[in-house]
Formats: sequence, C-alpha cells, structure tokens
Amino acid sequence: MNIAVILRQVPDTEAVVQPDAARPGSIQEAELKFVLNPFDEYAVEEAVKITEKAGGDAVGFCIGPDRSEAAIRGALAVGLRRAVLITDAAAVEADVVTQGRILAAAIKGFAPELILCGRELIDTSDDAMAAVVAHFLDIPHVLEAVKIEVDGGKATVTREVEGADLEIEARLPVAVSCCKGLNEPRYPKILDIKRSRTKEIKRLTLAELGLESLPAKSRVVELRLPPARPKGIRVDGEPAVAAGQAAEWLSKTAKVV
Amino acid sequence: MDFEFSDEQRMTIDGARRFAAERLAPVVAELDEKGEVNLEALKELGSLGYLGMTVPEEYGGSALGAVAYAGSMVELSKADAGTAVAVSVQNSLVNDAIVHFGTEKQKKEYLPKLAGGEWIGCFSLTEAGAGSDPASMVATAVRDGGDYVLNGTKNFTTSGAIADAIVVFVRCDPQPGGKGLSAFLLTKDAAGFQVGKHENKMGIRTSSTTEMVFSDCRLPAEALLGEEGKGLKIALSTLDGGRIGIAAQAIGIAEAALDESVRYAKEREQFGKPIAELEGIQFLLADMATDVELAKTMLFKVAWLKDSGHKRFTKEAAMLKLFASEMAHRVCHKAVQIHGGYGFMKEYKVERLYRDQRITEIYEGTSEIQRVVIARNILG
Ligand SMILES: Cc1cc2nc3c(=O)[nH]c(=O)nc-3n(C[C@H](O)[C@H](O)[C@H](O)COP(=O)(O)OP(=O)(O)OC[C@H]3O[C@@H](n4cnc5c(N)ncnc54)[C@H](O)[C@@H]3O)c2cc1C
Repeated sequence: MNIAVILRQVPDTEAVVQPDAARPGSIQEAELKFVLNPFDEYAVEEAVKITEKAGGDAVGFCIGPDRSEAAIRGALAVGLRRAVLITDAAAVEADVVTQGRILAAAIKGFAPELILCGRELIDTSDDAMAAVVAHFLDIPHVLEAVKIEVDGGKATVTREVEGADLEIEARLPVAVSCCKGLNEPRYPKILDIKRSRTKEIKRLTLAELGLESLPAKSRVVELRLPPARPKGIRVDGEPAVAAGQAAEWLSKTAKVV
Repeated sequence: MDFEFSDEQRMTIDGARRFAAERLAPVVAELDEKGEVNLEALKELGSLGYLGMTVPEEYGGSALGAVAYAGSMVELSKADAGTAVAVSVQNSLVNDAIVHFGTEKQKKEYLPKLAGGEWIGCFSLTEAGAGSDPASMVATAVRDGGDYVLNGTKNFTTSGAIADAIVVFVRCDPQPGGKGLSAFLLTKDAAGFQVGKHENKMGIRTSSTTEMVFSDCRLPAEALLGEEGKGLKIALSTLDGGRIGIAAQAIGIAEAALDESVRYAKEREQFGKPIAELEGIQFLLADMATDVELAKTMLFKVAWLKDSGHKRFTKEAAMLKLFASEMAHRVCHKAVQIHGGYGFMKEYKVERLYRDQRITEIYEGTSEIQRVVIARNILG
C-alpha cells in the first residue's frame, strides 16, 4: 500500500517569533530553530507502521524553502522511503487552498491509497490540508484521526468528538489528518539517521506540475504580536478583607464590574 | 574552523534530547529516591545506537563519533546523570577498550551485543586500596596451564549489578608497580565471579555501583584483553576517552541547573519583584551561563580532536574533565543558592543536580589527578 505523507517544517514550539520588518507577514528566521511540524510526526509514524506491515512505499510531500530538507530528513530517518520537495516561492507563500492544489498535483502521479498529514500546523494553526487535498483529488477525507485501520479497500478511522468517539468509514484512497494519541512516534536509530542521507529528496517545480501561473487566493499582509499583558495587581491579607479590596479595585479602577 | 554540527550529529543529539525528556526525566526523581537503575531506558538507548557510538558499523556500532556522543551525553545527563554515566562507561570505557585492544574474536563476540544494548558493560579498575594509584592493585591473575585464575575484589564498579560483560584489571606479575597489570574480558556467568556489595550513594543514584568479587575465577587465555602486562597502558589510554563522557555529564548537570535557575529566578518574587531583577542574582546567572558555555566549547574541541584521529589528547582531556567538573560544582552551588530554601528540598530538581554533580570531580581521575596529568604534560 502506497502512502503519501504531507510534511511541513515549522519553528520549534519553544521558539520566540518576531515579525520581520523587511518582509511583511513573515517572521525573522535567522535565530530560529525549525522542526518537523509535531503533528506530522504522527502521520509519519502511522505511514511507516502501515507500510512495514502491509508493504508499499511511504513517501513525503513537502512545500517549503530549502531549509525544509532538515525536517524531511528526520522523517526519512524514521522510515519514509523518499520525499518530494517543492521550493518555488509562489508555492511557499501561497494560501492553504493553493498549496493543497499544488500538493494534490504532486501526489496524484504517485497514486497513493492513503494520504496522511498532521492535524494542524502549529505555526499558522491551519488545519484544512487533508480536506483541501482530498477536494482536488476528488477523494474522501477524515479529520483528526486517533485510530486508523485499513482493510479491504476501505479505511476505518476513529475521531474523538466532545465526549464520544466517531467511527468513520471511507473507501480508499482517502486523506486523513492525524492527532496526538494515534501512535507513539518512534525515536530515530542513529544508523537510520546516517542512512537517511542516501534517500532521495526530489525537487519538483511548479512548472513541472504545470501550475506556474497560480493566482494567489489570499495573502498575509501583516503579522502582529498580541500586545504585552499589563502587569496584574496582587491583593494580600485576610480573605474577608482582601476580597473587599479586590471587589473595590475591579469596580473603581478597572471598571469591569 | 567550523562550529556547526553535521546534520547527522544534530539529529542524533536532538534524538537524545527527546528521549531524555520523554523516557528519563519523568521517572528520574522516583528512581533517584529508591536508588534504582532505569535498565529499560538504557537498553532502549542501546537499540537506538547510543551505546555504540564509537563502535565501527561492521561490529554493530552506530559509529557516529565523539562529537555526536558528547552532545548526546550532555542531553541525557541534563535529565538523568545516573543513566548517562552508564552510557558513558559503555561507550568510552568498555567498547573503546575492546575496539582498540580486543582480538577479532573478542570484537565479534562482544561488540555487537554491547553496541546494540543487548548487553550492558562495566569497567573494573579500582580497588579498596587502589584508587588514584591503580598500579598498587592487589587482585591477581595466575597462569595455570592454558588458563588464568583470577582472585581479588574490585570496588566502585559502575553498572556492576547490571553488567553482562566485564573489563577487569588485575595483576599478573607479583612485582609491585604498573608493569604487571593486565586486562581481561569476561561475561558475568564466568564461574568464580560474583557481584559483591551494592553501594548506597549520595548522587547518581540511578546508576548501580558495586563490588566485583573474583574467587578462583578461571578464564581461558583468550580472555586476556590486549597483551599481558599492558593493563595500565590500556586503562590510562581508555580513560582519556572516558573523560569526554564524564565532562559531558558534568556539563549536562550544570546546564540543567542553569535552566532551572533562570526559570526560578523569573518566577520567584521577593521585595515585590522577581529575584531575576536583582543584580546580585543576575551576576550569578551570568557567571553560570558563561561557565557552561566555555566548558561546552572545550568539550566539543576535545571530541573533535578524538574524531579527527589525534592520537594524543591526554592533556586536553584532563583539562576538560577538570574544568567541566569543577564548573558544574560552581554552577550547582549557585543554583541551590538562587533557589534559597527550596533548593534544599527534594521537590526541586537542583537538590538532585547538586548531589549528582559531586561525583564528576572524583571518578575517572579526581581533580587532583587531572592536575597531576596536566602538570606532567606541560613540564615535559
Ligand atoms: C560512584 C562511583 C562510581 C565509580 N565507578 C568506577 C568504575 O566504573 N570503575 C572503576 O574502576 N572505578 C570507579 N570508581 C572509582 C573512582 O574512579 C575512584 O574513586 C577515584 O579514582 C578515586 O579513588 P579513591 O576513591 O580511592 O580516592 P583516593 O585515590 O584514595 O584519593 C583520596 C584523595 O587523595 C587525593 N590524591 C590521591 N593521589 C593524589 C596525588 N598524587 N596528588 C594529589 N592528590 C592525590 C585524591 O584526589 C583525593 O582527594 C567509581 C567511584 C564512585 C564513587
């Protein structure tokens, strides 16, 4: 069974991001550490687990600048067979729907039975990629899987909703976004880290996909950090007295009650 | 000159960091309290290749070299210095001794199991009466036909209780002095060998430290590691590499103490503001960060010397181990100070770091012995 895994490199969860004055809508990258989008790790692990059992290839597809190779190699080190990287600026800067269209075009020739991606990108919080790619390939999609079973031409996917589990069946091929809890991403073995160098990361251009003139559907014009939180006040003392003081402050100074 | 890690080194060190955070950090406080080894994590580190980092691939190693090893040791030590020292002993003392001095048969028999974590290894040099001066050891090996018969008690052996493979140093020549020492390689099931007393320690309590007792332990001549009489040379040259591991351990402990202190200083308020805004605390933190940074730079320099095939880095390794361990002492002392009374309590991580740090100034050559080595090297 062939599986396409959509990958994205994002700033590390602990990174402190600052807007880049020179490039409106972008962040300063020089000092940042980048990692594979953490939710993508569940997608990678699931793809590797399934292909280890059922055979076939698990292949990564990524839109991003050259530096994305580092994240891709991490995914190759834990078992993806090879990867495809699209670095055209027009693709990197495109909106989610346009990127989904590009990825669908890149994935189409590989004809996978399963397309997996992370539940959400932790930097932009975009969580629609599985649906968008499915739309352009005209296949079903299921979001936020915590369990995936593939058997007899269909996938049975479990999704957690408020207080219950939904079990959803879809015929293959299907695009599924993966949640925490789906599996435990393995640690790379050092030998596999070394061998990942010999795995192919193929560059694909928009021209090769016949998509060079994609009009952007939207663009980010500005990135603003939320205003710094003002310093709080602290009311000490006996609860009975302190509560009165707090109430007075809330009504007279903060004027919120 | 290039201060960047290669992709492989970076990914390996990142892997160690993630493993440490997920597998070691959550249980270290409890295991420290009980004085128990995290054997499961140690074996898993082996299956990932972290116990065979300088073993050639043909013998089952991951062979990524000393820089990646040093960086990984720092990360593991930040979470659990006890598990980390077992990693250090296995890579630097046991595997390296076999790689450099073992016969082809010994390499084939021992290295794949050690490098993959199927076996844990230990290195028994010290005796009750022979610490800084190993040449004064009294445990013996007496030739008997084609065999050697070992008698004596080694002490303070890291990983003694969990070891499957043992590198042991004994005296073949009854003449006093270093010339008569030899190294042997055996498995724990050798008749006449047994694990002795388990030590109850101040720090690195997630590592096992035991006596190793040999009573008429008969080994075939092929158990000799290296040539008869070359034991002291084998021990000393192996310890050069070991000092990289122990320095990395000290640096990991210090870095963890620094991280904890930065976080605590920002949170803790006295006199109406975070103590991090007090210049007195800021100067402590600045000195700690500078100390850690300098030790790390030297760590990777010595690791690089080893990777680039420099035969002799004895002086640099001694300087590194001396500086890093005493640096960790300074940093952990300040970390407890910054935490005030809370730093004295077991609920706070710096309490353990302070205890764990202490051994780095003692084993694999005390600070005094490092100074002896450095002085000998510069005086010629
Ligand atoms: C937790 C732990 C784990 C250990 N693991 C191992 C292991 O795996 N394998 C192993 O073989 N050993 C191990 N050791 C032993 C360790 O290496 C020795 O404890 C160390 O070398 C010091 O020896 P000693 O304790 O006998 O101290 P001593 O040698 O008796 O030293 C006492 C004091 O005298 C000083 N001193 C000694 N000689 C000189 C000198 N020439 N000049 C100036 N000062 C000097 C020392 O620096 C020290 O301050 C371990 C020890 C501990 C505590």
